[in-house]
Amino acid sequence: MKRRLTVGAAAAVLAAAALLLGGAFRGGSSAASAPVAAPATAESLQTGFSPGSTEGLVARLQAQLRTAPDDARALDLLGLAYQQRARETGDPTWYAKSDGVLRKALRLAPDDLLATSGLGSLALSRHRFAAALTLGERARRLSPTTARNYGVIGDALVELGRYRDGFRAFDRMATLKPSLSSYARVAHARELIGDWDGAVSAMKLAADSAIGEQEPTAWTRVQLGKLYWNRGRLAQADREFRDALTAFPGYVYALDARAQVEAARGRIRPAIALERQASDTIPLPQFVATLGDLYRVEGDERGARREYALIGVIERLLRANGVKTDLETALFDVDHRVRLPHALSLARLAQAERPSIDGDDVLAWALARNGRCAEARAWSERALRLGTRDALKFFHRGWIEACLGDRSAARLWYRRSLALNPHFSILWAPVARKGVSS
Amino acid sequence: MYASHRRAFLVLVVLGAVVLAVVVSRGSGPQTAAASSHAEAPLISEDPRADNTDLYAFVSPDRPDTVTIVANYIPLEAPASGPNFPAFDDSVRYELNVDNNGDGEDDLSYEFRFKTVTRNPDTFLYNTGPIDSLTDPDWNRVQTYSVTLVDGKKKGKGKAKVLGENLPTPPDNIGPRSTPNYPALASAAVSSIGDGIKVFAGQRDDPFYVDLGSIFDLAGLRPFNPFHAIPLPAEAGRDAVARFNTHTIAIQVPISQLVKIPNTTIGIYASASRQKETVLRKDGTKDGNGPWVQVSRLGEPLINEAVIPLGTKDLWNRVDPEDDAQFTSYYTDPEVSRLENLLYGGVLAPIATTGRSDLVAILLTGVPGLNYTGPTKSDLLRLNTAIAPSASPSRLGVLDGDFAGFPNGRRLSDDIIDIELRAFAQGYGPVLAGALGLPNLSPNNQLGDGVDANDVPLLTMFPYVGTPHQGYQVP
Repeated sequence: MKRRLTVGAAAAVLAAAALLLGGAFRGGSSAASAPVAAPATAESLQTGFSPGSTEGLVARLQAQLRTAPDDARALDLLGLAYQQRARETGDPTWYAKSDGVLRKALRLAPDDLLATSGLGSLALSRHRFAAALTLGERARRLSPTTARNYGVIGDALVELGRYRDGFRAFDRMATLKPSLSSYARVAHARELIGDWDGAVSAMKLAADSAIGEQEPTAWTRVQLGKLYWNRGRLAQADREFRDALTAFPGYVYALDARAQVEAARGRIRPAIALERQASDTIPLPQFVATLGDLYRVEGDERGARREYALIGVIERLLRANGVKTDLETALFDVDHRVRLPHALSLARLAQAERPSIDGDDVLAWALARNGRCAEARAWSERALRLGTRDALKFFHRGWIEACLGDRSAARLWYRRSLALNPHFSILWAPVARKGVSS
Repeated sequence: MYASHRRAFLVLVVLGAVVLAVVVSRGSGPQTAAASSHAEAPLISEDPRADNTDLYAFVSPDRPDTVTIVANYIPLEAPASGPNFPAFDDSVRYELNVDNNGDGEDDLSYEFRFKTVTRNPDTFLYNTGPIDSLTDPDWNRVQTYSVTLVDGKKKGKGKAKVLGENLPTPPDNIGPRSTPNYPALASAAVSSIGDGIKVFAGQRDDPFYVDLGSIFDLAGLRPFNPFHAIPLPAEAGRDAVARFNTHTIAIQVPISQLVKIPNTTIGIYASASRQKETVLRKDGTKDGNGPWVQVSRLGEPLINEAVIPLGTKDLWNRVDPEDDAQFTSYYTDPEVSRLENLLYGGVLAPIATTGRSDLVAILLTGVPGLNYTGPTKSDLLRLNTAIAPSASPSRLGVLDGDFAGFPNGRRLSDDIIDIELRAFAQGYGPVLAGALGLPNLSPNNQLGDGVDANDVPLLTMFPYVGTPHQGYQVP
């Protein structure tokens, strides 16, 4: 912690010096006598800074920019700090702010690498993958040897369903610089193609390279735990989630993950408490939806409805700040039988913009729940084309087969999904179990 | 009066920025904190355990027929950072590389690999009682290492010889209950591995020193406080890296094993490599067995930080020194000097912003008559092993006429910040001005942050780096 503060402080001074230099150069004596903003550089935007320190960083950069509003470097850093705030608070208004300052930085310095890749990562956060790809490519042209540019490109390609190209970008990233960032992407890609062992070994390397840094440690531990979770290895998963919370107390993604572990163990009240804590800190739609599902399992229909009602509000807020949520909204609506025909058209729209296996799967599920199971089956096949071993996608397929009247195929898929992870979904695992025994 | 104050202030601000550029980026690359879409993987990571912060190389004062190489990794360790006390990374290969014929390629490479053993997986505690020896069963998380010498790695000969295995590291310095008598634990972790070679790997005090506190405060340098735009009484500098630890890898090797006669100068760099993992593994490729890729390197101090631009850092860290000619323009036309000139313009005598052959000599080829290794440009810390250790070392090294110090190798006590401040500002001092005709601008040749020595005394014997701070004492 102390170390991070020191690094941050050092960064702050550099920026202060830069500010003074800039001011002095412009010949304004006001710059020298102005209150000193003690700000930051890219270095203080390192992984692992706590919510408090990002807040301070934002304040310092804002103060610095009040003195020198056209400092492209400070704008870059503020833009990235805003994105980090969005990560920490779940408040999507930070995205719009980040967008504003990064665009301004780019107007001042059209070839600015940090602003370009920063806008790329912002586009990824907003689920605008085509735009992210364009920005990632532009950043790559500015610096073909910078590894992170291939992360932006690869992430976008994967979400656009262009897996072969996306994996090639990840491989390029890994070749340029093996690191937490590339190991984690390789792990994700391996999971997509059904190579679970390979995914675990790459994520372990990612976790190794994260040690010493708070948020990256928590993040990689949660990812590793989720890999175990996806194979039903509850105890191993829980140990990773607990490690994440030791490294980063209150880390919401670990709280959410632990809530699901507790629910899987049939301990609904502790699960609710954990999910409540997560969603109180960052009301992400998936946390709120899970909380609603937990209330429903507990028989508290009013509590469930209260949480579900919140989701619409949160998603409207996300949309107002440029985040595309069609796919997530469609999935929630289909899961909870909300305006099914509308959910279907939303899923179609989302799949067209995001033709990944997730887009295909949600569309398949939406078609099925609208009774169009033959069409659904084709999309489900597409969703499984990479050989991904994903319990929820398997369950969807089973449901579709049942809808088409093929009970033995349905049982097979249900069994497969439960074999991967008997607790894959609070809502649907019980349905799969019933389907197997019927 | 205003004008002269203003002028002095400008100078200090510029130099402060240089120092900061230097200090800030010690141990950190540029980083965005952005999230990806689906998996939200970070786009860049700092990777402190593969982060080489400093490299030192000197003829051992107490064994002048040997050279000691010290490479530090993991920046700014807070002593009280339990329960997960810092350690080397088992998945990183740490390397100390030596070129002994001036071609920039490593002829000798000492590779260090670590192995962590958790003796009791049921506790998260580092230790469950006082650690009285390196084999104490109360010490729960123990790290050992191996040293392998690779001969002629780059030429494909690659003869690898294991010099030592299961070598002990000391525990981190926790406190009087956990690690009583720490110096004894540390010295027990010095291993002699044959052929007169000694090695050590473990936590030490970070010997780097700099006055960040004053530089943070409007780019001030305490000794020059009266000349600041906001004047204060002059003060002695204060070391902001004081009370921080680091992890040291040190090796002491007889000179005869390092040099290739008639050359007496060797070029050294430290590095850290990680194994490349790609999405689609080729048949037969086992997990974690991908080829090694260098992710961090360090020869001369501050090159990555002060010389190499943002968009080139990943490439620079990956390539080997023999390919450094492609980066020459960053040395001859350094960005830092352009910034200085911008600010000095019309106020002070301009600093050369192109054709800085002085920097090329000091940083890429060695200084003729001192440690020149030939025309090949490579970022190596060059040490002329024929120069005997100084009986009374000067922190300013060669700038002060002490040829056993930086830039002839680098001793733990050399004042890199002051030396670099002056070199960047072309204030090389009278010795180098006389001997080599290097510029000696004034008052640039007086600059410094006022911190002239480390907070912790250095040891008089291997590994020389001072005892790490105790977590108990330094929260």
